[in-house]
Amino acid sequence: MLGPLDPLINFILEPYFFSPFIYPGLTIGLVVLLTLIWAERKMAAKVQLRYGPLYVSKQIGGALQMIADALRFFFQEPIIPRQVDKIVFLATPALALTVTVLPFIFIPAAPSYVGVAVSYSLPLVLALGALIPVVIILMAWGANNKFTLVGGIREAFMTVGYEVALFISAFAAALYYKTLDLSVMVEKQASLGLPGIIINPIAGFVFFVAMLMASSKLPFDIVEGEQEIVAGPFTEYSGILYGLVMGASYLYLYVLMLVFVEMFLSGWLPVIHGLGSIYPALGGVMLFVKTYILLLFAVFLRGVYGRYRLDQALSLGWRRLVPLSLIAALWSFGLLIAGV
Amino acid sequence: MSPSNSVLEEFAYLALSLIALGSGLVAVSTEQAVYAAVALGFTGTSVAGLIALLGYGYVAAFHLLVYVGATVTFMVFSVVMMRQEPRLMRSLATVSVLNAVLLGLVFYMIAVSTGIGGVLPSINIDLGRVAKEFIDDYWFPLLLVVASLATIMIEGIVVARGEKK
Repeated sequence: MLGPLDPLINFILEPYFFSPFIYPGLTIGLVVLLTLIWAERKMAAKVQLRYGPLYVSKQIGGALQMIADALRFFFQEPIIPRQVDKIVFLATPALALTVTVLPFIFIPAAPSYVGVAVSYSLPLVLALGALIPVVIILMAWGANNKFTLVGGIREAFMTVGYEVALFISAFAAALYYKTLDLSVMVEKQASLGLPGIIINPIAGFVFFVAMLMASSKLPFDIVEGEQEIVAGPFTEYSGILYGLVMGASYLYLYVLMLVFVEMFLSGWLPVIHGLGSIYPALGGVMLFVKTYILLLFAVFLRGVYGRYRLDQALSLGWRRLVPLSLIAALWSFGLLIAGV
Repeated sequence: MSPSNSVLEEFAYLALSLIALGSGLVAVSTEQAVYAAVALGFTGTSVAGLIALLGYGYVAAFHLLVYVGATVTFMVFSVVMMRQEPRLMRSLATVSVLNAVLLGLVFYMIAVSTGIGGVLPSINIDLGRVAKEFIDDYWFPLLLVVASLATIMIEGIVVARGEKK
């Protein structure tokens, strides 16, 4: 029966397609996006003694609310204000999502399973992530509105604040593993019998905080700051265009969390035997479980932390995280010299 | 390499070259500083793609990391902070055109002397060996560079910490 469809199925199951578009890429990313936003709203509501999403599918705690919201985004009329630069306004949401999805090609999803295998996947993923602020600044400028401009400037400030710490902490971990390949990093943790967070806890901590800053998640949602500047660079967007830009920031958090789990929490280990023989990507189920739990923790912070001011976030970045990341690099260097 | 791969590579090479040229032109001709910076980002991204196609993916990754992400953001940041819009001085326009023509001629001469369409010898860079040679043969300049960079970093942190006083 499946004869004529075989080439198509084989194509879909090829790692270079499956990785960016199915797992860990866009499809699973979309599922993560919908469930995570629901969980975020539910957890924040619990902390603040509210119900959160409830009326759409009351029996299952309003879990279908996000699907209803997604459908609304799809069918809502996207409004294009007169003063915007039309081409930039329409192109940047798609560009933002594309740049966010690209790193999935290089992130290994399971043992020996990656879209495109390169020996420098870590700098490549970080480099592609570094393009996102450029797109957001372009988006803010093209929308030509006071709130978007303030949001764009905040994005530029924040990027300068977190990027150095994020990169140095990642390279501090890589220094100890003596590799820039995320797959090899997981293998090294397996051979040492210790996760990276135990080997270099400072690098792990700095990367985690810088990651929250990079993805504009509370307490660092300064770029959007809805009580101050409406939605920052995304203020003028509506309908599906808003859905794309909002989804991109959650997807970027997911991308960085996958990298964090592979560098500091042993990635897909322990491997559940048998799953990998059904399809190699299934061997990475533990990677997904760990990533999802950490994502829940990251969005839970919304309920317990207030938003940092811009100057406070920059101060944290330059005065705390950068020195800490340098200490993390020295720590790795010290471990190597000591032969640990 | 299969023929379809070769065609795809040639198509990618052509597309990236056109994007690099087009965005380069936008970067120097647009009147808005932010668009100029972002266009430069596109040029950098395409050049990184071309470097990767030539087989130097490692260099391409760092090109993307340093010259596109960090530099463009920093440029936008500086332009916004300094409020200085770059202006094209009319008296320099002729010189720029002349410069571009001369540069084009130089590249053409280089291309002719090395043989257009010829196969250039591939270079395999062993980064480990490069690092070892640096440490073995050029340890003193390397030490100076490391000390200078560390000093700049410490200065930067001290300046940042001192702002609050």
